[in-house]
Amino acid sequence: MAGALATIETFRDPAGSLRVEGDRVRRRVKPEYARAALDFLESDLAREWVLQGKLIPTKTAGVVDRSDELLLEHPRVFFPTYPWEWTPGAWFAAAELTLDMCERLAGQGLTLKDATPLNVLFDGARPVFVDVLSVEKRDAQSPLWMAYAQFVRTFLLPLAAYRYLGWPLAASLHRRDGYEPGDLYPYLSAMQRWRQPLRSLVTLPYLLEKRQSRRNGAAAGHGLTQAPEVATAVLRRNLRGLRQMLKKLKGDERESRWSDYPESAAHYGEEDHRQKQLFVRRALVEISPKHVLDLGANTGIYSRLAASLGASVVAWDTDLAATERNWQQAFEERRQVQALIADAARPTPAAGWRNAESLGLLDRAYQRFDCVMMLGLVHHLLLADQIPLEEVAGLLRDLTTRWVIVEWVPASDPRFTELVRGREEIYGHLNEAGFVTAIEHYFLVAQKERLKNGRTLYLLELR
Amino acid sequence: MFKRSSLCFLGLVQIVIFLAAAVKPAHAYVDPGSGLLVFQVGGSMLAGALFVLRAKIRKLFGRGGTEKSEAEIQNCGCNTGTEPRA
Repeated sequence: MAGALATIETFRDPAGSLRVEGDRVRRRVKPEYARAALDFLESDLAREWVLQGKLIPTKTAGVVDRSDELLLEHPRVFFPTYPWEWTPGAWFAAAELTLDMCERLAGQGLTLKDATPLNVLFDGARPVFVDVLSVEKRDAQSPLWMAYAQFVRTFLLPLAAYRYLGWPLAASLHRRDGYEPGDLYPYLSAMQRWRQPLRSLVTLPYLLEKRQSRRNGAAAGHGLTQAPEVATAVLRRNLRGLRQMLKKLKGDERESRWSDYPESAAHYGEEDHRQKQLFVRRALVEISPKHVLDLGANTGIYSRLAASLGASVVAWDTDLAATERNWQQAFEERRQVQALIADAARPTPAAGWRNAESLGLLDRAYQRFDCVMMLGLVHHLLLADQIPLEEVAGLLRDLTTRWVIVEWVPASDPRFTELVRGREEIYGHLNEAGFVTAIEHYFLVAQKERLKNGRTLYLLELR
Repeated sequence: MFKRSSLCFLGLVQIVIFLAAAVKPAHAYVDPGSGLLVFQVGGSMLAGALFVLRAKIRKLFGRGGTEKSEAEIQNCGCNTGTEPRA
């Protein structure tokens, strides 16, 4: 893990680049694109979106040296995330925001020149469009959206693959530019191929592509001109068509063995639940953290508790269905909870060109939180992931700047024995005394409470 | 009868014009795709042709001029433009 916030810089956009260095986010705009960028940023539409939280705020920081490049500055989104960590709900929210913006821009003679989930970050569960240089002037006579195919490749086809084929959205880590229709086509049944939305997303484009490559090898050079009012109407219809397909891709909520865990946890009596919530609430009220990381958040009971007390929460869990529930609730209730599918034991790696385009999970999380909650997770790390106690303590030290709320699960706990599965010889020695010894290397025990079911809650403070 | 023949003729002419003459090079920052681009172009041609055709029908039957209001555009009952349909 890096010792400080790592630096990343973008390089693909011909109009400029973005550099994230610590808490500073600066964007250079090339001279020939500067006027257009300023025109948009100073427009009523951009101001409206910034006020609504849909567009990242931008401030002009001046002109760079003598090169006439424009320098812009954005506030850093507290915890930047990537599509491969998002729940399906977050994907839909990002896609809807992209289409909403494109539709509004069309009416102003503008468009989005690209359409990828990587242009969107999240503030809590609210999507924020961050690539201000994506907005450009539209050819009034063209009904085409040149980012249409990218929108399909990077939003709709991963969602279709997830919905119809069960391919994980996390696979987008390996697919910067999404899927081609031909990637999905062989795996679809004949019935699926000719039903909407797959007919328009996969089958027809795939067959047209095959026909095209037989004829001349590429489809380059296609374009279309129409009278401006016709072009605008047709563009809007194309965008509505994309929206309809997006709507069709929304499936039913999936269940998992963890998604109703808080309601069905038999090892937790009502009194235990009450006692645990009381301890966590009391601790949070006492320490009043600003930024909380909830490790193993499940459906987010404690994430929402922390958010209701004024904290901004990032919640990690490996279970998709549970995390989706957490995300949906935060989205509907507008809570400051960012629920991610993330594994503390196997964190998302850095990715992209030279591993420097997107940061790893722990690089982004390093000492970003003044409180880390780890409730009902220690035994999973110890037994399922085989992480030594000292390492667990070390991770907590890396993530928090001050507080930790942690729950120790004893070897007698039914969940502990379930996970041991005949490996008592290796793990039978794990006990609370060993846990406290490992923890006290970095932390002081500020508060401690034993629940009736034998589990113990700790409030720890960094030494 | 005359109106119906005129209507068919106008429609055919319009579609031919759109399919044959209105193609120009596309300039994109991102990969515009191959099959997906052809699909979008085809859908847009048909949607545009049907839109103009509808405006002409309205004119022929004396229900509004050539001016296309936003509401008219939104409510035109033509192809969605996302999938070519004859």
